[in-house]
Amino acid sequence: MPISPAIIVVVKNRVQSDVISGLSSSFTADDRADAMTPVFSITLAGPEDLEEGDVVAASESFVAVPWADACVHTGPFLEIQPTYVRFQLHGTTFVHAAAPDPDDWIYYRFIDFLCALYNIGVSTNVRPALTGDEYLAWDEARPHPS
Amino acid sequence: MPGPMPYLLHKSAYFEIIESLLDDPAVRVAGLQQLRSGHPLADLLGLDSTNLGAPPVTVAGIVTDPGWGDHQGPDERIRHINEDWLGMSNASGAWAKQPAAFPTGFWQGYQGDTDAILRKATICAIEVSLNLPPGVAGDPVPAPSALERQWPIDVYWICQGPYFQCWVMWRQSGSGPTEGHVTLLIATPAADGYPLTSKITRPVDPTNPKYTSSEYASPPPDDARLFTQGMWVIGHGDYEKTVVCSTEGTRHAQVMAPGIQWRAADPNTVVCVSPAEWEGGVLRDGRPYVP
Repeated sequence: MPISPAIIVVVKNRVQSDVISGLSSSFTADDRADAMTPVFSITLAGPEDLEEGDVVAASESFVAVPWADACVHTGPFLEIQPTYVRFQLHGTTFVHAAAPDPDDWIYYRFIDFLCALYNIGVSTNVRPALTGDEYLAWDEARPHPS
Repeated sequence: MPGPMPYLLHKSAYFEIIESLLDDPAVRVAGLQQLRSGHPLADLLGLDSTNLGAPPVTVAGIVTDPGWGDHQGPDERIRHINEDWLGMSNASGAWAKQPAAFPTGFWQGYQGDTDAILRKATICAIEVSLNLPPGVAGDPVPAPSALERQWPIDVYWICQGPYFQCWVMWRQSGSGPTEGHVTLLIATPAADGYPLTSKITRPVDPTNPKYTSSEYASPPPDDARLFTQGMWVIGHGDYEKTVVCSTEGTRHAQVMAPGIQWRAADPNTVVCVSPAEWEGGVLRDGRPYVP
């Protein structure tokens, strides 16, 4: 039996609070006048003009909720101290909402943390660091001068 | 570069050759004038030194000579410097900067005038080493025999990014003409295709000639201090990597962040390694420029 519309409403609200509460030690709401309104929205970024109702998908036990959160980097994130940079964090949360009690639901989050890093000025244009075994495997696989 | 760059700090044959050129006061003074006047950098680096290596020789589709050293000839080395380091193109028949190209050369995520930076840094290093004030093209320079100061110049490369910057550092140790030295540290963005490894020791295997050279050692021999050059790395021998993913399911508000952790494989042991030259280290007597 599909998840009911009433449950989906609860899921959406819980996803918002999950993101905001779960990341509150790193990011807080960007409530400045020129920030995205509302601060948290259920949406997908792209060329299409999609409404909230278009982007939430549900099966018999899972609900997928894509979202955007206008935030400020106000606390340590991946060991990087606050930069107070404002940006939009994007992600999609898959909620296993089969249990009757919402407190028993499980959240599988796919958050664009890489873009968050770039926004706060962390570059990944570095040489990859390999373990000794990984380096040997790379050296074996790479093209060598003949 | 003549080989891979598994270590964070790099010198290797190319920079040893540059250092040996700079050791000659006449070459250094001439190089200063050429750098100031815009002479192509690639022509000043000793890339034609015959002890750098040679490419394979193929006759009728059969490799008759596998080559040696960096397996390259001067033309390929010049292409490497101009194209990969300086972001130039010779599509028009002459090497020219491509200021609009992104990235510049093989520097990941970076655009800038690397030729101008490297040129200015080398000029600064030479001026300091010879006790000359900042100058421009056409300024007179003293005759090599009249130089009152001739400090040696060390050149090192750290390839990790994100910017292309050069650092010129010096230290005077006395009042004599050679009592001091200059260090030119080239800090670049990451280069395409050159990973690091956390492991700094190497297996010394008599059947594997790559590491049987006396130039690789861990620990270095007790008399290494008597060598004319040295470059050691001191640290834990290797590390174990742990990756934390953020997509594992959790309950409400228990958001996981991704992470990477490096833990010393043996935190109770610190090793000293003298890397092989072909992996970024130096020969005990350096590598001279050989016409």
